[in-house]
Amino acid sequence: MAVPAFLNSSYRYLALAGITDTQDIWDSFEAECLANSPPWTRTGGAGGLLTSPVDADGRFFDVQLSVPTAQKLQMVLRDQSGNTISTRQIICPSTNSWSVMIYTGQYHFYIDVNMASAAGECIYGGILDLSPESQIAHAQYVFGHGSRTSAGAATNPDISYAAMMDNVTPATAGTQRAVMWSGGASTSDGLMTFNGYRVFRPREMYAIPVGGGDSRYAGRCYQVMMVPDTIVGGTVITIPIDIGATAQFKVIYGIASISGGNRSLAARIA
Amino acid sequence: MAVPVFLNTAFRYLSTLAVLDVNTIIANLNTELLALPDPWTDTGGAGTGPWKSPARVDGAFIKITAARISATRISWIVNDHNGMLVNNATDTRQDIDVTGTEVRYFTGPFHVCVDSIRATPETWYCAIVDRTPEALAIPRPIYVSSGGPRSTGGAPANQTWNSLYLLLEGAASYAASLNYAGYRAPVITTIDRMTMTGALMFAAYEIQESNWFYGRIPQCLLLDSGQAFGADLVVPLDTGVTGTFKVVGCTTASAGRIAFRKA
Repeated sequence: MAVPAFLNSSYRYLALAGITDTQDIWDSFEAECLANSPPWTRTGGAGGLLTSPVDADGRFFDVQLSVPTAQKLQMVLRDQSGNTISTRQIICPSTNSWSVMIYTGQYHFYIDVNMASAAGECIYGGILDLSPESQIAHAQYVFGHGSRTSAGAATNPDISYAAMMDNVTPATAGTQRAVMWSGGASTSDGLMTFNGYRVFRPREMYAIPVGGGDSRYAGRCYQVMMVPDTIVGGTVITIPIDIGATAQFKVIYGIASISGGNRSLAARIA
Repeated sequence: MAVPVFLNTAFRYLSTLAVLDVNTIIANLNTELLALPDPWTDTGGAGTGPWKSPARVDGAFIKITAARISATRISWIVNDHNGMLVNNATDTRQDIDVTGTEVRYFTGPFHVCVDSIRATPETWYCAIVDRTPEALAIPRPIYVSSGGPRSTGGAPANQTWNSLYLLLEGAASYAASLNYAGYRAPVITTIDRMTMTGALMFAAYEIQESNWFYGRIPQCLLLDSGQAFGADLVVPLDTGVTGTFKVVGCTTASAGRIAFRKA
């Protein structure tokens, strides 16, 4: 056996408490990206464009954050060709402080906010693992999404949605492209084994290939697992990832489950 | 790496052309089941069954009873090791053509599939599913049987690949549904079960219902519905190891069909 490729990339985790200004999230996110190994690069000084490390196959993406207000955090995610894949926001309450979870790595980032007084929100992006095919088997490997549009509307926020290139056009609003591992009914989800152990699944994405037609399998998201949605946000789960090897994942607050899957997303912390 | 347990069981494959009487199916199935490395038992001793599968290490076994309804119609009854009727509709029936039909037999210690290649193919199967890495028998072994291809009355019924009988958690008897198979697909159904580069994708035929994951059907794979019935597909099973699977006649659901192993 071996650790699957999608769980064999770099990762970092930072938790913040008592946050009341989204600028603090931006600053911490930037520091985390630059502290990664291999590190991200920043263009334009503090607050500049953050570019993920270019891997051996030349793959990367970039993200530009901004803070329209002290309660809003916006990302603009682009692929390796400069196509804007996703422009999404989170909006935090002004009536209380928030706890923030920042998950980063060479191929992924998730900025997850536990609002306390409202449902959690998240913005994220990354590169897909294409194994067992070559990592350059196709160029539509960048994905991302978030809780709200750039106008602040909470649309398509659940785990089934993500933005990617579909054919030659970015599907920026998000499409139900994530494999939900369910069956012929919205309740046929297979969340637990008969012995009562929880079943964990990778998050896999479909996209329309260049030339059009039906959606096809595009790859797996790095360093996240889909978990039963009965496990609440913030829960830390230990998951076997190889013989004698385990990893810890924390359930994200800001990516909602749906009926017909009933799964949440958990990102790696250790 | 290693070949997954559900693909690491014994198997046999036979195809017979122009079968004119289902008694030939019964005879051929008897031969195939008794020729397996760990052979089934012809409990009737006359070459016509009922057949009892070799007991798994946990004692689980399948019992299959076949009967000739007419020259062109066979009935199937499947019992689990407690004697409960798995295909819980008195029996399940399957037809061949009066002009003769090719019949394909896929067998192993824990699975049987009989495929009659009519203009609209008819497929019947049953299995004890694999639940590794968990204990096989705790809390109980899991049996499945296809929902079709025909009802006791002889009408076409439940012919999609995802229709099967299953004893649900807490249930007193087996029940048929379209909802007991995992699709490994997005919510959208306009998909090809292939990668962006056009390579076919193969997945285990996983049984799940409600919150529960029940296991995988041995020597069976879920694949893209664009593959023709009868197509032979070579599938990598491990580093340097391949298996050949033949698409069987269950009709399409969720852009998928299924194939059983032949080599």
